[in-house]
Order: sequence, then C-alpha cells, then structure tokens
Amino acid sequence: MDPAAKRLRHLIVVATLIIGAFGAGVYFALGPGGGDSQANIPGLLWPNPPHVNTFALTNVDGRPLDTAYLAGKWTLLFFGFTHCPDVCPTTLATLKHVRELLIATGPFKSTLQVLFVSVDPERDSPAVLKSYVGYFDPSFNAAIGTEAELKAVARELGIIYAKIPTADPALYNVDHTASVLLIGPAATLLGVFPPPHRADQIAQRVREIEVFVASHS
Amino acid sequence: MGVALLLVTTNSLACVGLTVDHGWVREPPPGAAVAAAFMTLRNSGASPITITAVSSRRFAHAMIHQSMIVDGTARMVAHETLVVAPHNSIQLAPAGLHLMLMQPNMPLAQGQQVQIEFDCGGHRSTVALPIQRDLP
Repeated sequence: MDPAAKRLRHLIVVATLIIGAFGAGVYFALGPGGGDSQANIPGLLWPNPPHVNTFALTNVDGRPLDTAYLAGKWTLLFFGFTHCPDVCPTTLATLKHVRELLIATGPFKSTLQVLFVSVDPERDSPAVLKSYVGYFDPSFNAAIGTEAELKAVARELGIIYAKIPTADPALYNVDHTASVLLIGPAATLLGVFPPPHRADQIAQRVREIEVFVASHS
Repeated sequence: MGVALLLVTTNSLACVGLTVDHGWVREPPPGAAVAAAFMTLRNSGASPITITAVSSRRFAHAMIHQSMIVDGTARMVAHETLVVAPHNSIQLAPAGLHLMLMQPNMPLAQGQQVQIEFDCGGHRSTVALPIQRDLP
C-alpha cells in the first residue's frame, strides 16, 4: 500500500473511533429537533453541551492539570505540536488577538484562558511547551500527557490526531484537528470553531455564546 | 515589503527569470525546531521554472510543504518540486504553501536574515529573507 493510502486508512480508523463517541454527542446537541431557534450561533453546541469528564494532563511546570483547571473559566483550547511550522503558530497568534479582544471588556476579563495541548509527547516536554506558548502570550498555558491520557482527552473532545511518518524518523508530522474549542465555566464543551480562523469572528462568537448560555441557564 | 528581492547568483547558471517578492521567515518561538518561509515566487521568463530542491545554511533540512485542512484536520503535504509557469507566480503564505525549515543551527530572531537557496534542476539562486515576528 502506498504511503498516502496507508495514511488515509490510519486516519479513517482513528476518525471512526472518535466520531463514534463524539458524533453521538454532537448529534444529540445539534441533531433534528434539538435546535433552538435562538441559538443561531455558528459553532455553538446546544442544547446538552457535552460535559468534559476526562481531563487529566500535565502542565508546563510538570504538575497535574485536570478538570479543576476548567472550573469557573472560559477556556479556548487548541491542539497541536511545537514541530508544527505553520498552522500552530498561525492559530496561536490568532488566539492572542482573540484574547486581547475578549479581555478588554465584560465577563472574560478575569475568566478567559487559552490552553495549547500538545499531541506530540515524544518530542514535546513541559519545558519546551512553556517557552513555546509563552512566546505568543505570557498568559497562555500548555499541557501534555502520556499517549493514553491524550487519547482519552481527544476522544472526549472529538479531536483527531495521527502521527505521519516521514523518511527521516525524527522529522515525522502530526495531523491534528485544527478547530479551536470553547469550554465554558461549567466544564462543558460549548463551541467548536473550525478553520479558517479570524480573531474578530472567534471573539464575537465567544461573546454571543456567553450571552446565550447566561440566558439559558 | 513590495520591493522585489534580487536573487544572488551563486554560479553562472542561475534560475533564469525567477524573482522573489514579499519574502519573510516567521521567527520561531524559543527552542522551536522548525520555522516556515513565505514569499511570492515569480517567473518573468517564457519557460516554466521547476524548483527541485530548497536549502538553507542555517537549517539542517528545508522542504517544500503545504498545509491543508482536510475535513477539519490540519495536514502537511510535501511537494517534491514546485513549478512556476511562464509569466506567472506562486504564493507561499501562512496556512498554505511554505518552505519548512527544520533544525536551525543557531537561534534565530527578528531583524536577522536567512539565506535560502533554490535549485532549479542544476541551476541555483539564493535569496536573503528577513525574519519577522508576524506578517510584514
């Protein structure tokens, strides 16, 4: 089998496993009859936003980072890896602008946090991640986990990632979901924003989701 | 940066007709093992230009890559060659085509320049691109 077909097969296997779990949640959230006529916000998962139960990772200082990190905060979450030259820096630069737009006013001032989760535990360490995300914004956090911990979080949040080998084993790439996720203060997955990402658009949707959720809780 | 960067010919057989506009290298975060170069490649000649390899003395590896979003997943596709059609141009831009530069042999920072060498089937041309923190 040629590498492209192999890679496709690998992705399909991973995707099938994950979509099975996540798809059911999204289907019930967005499926027929589940829509709320007021909830016309692109990316909003409503009603019944999936609750984040499995979230056991390690932060940039090597300490546990779990669901307690999410409680009472609005979290913008992005998955990637530091050997990613284009999509990850571009998205993190965008998220810096999103944060600036959101913390200027309103309920996000002290409650917004941005978390970058590495899906490359082989090459990324807490120390590497610390300087990596800090470069984009000193307030940014990062997390990493063992392969099993990352798989559990990915499955829970509907994230796909797959290691793609190259001729030089050290230079492999990691395909990964490019969406930015929004987790609300009750640790529910409230929003999924697929690329292309525009800072003003993401900020606007986050604001709309906050107002919507406040009026529906 | 609208000014075309003149290509420095490293030998008499340059990539004839090739010019580079709006070129820049994204400053890699501290400790990052990769960087990306973006630019517009222009062919002012009447024959296609085929870039068969890229390299940089500042990096152990350089490759022609393309970021793609397929069904919401960010993927990377490597291109063996890049063909610039006659009187045409190709844009290398964030979230699309770029030169992937791996394993820098010294720290890189905004204000410095990175030389990139293009191999057009035995003909070689070099361009110096500024390191920028963000889109110029």
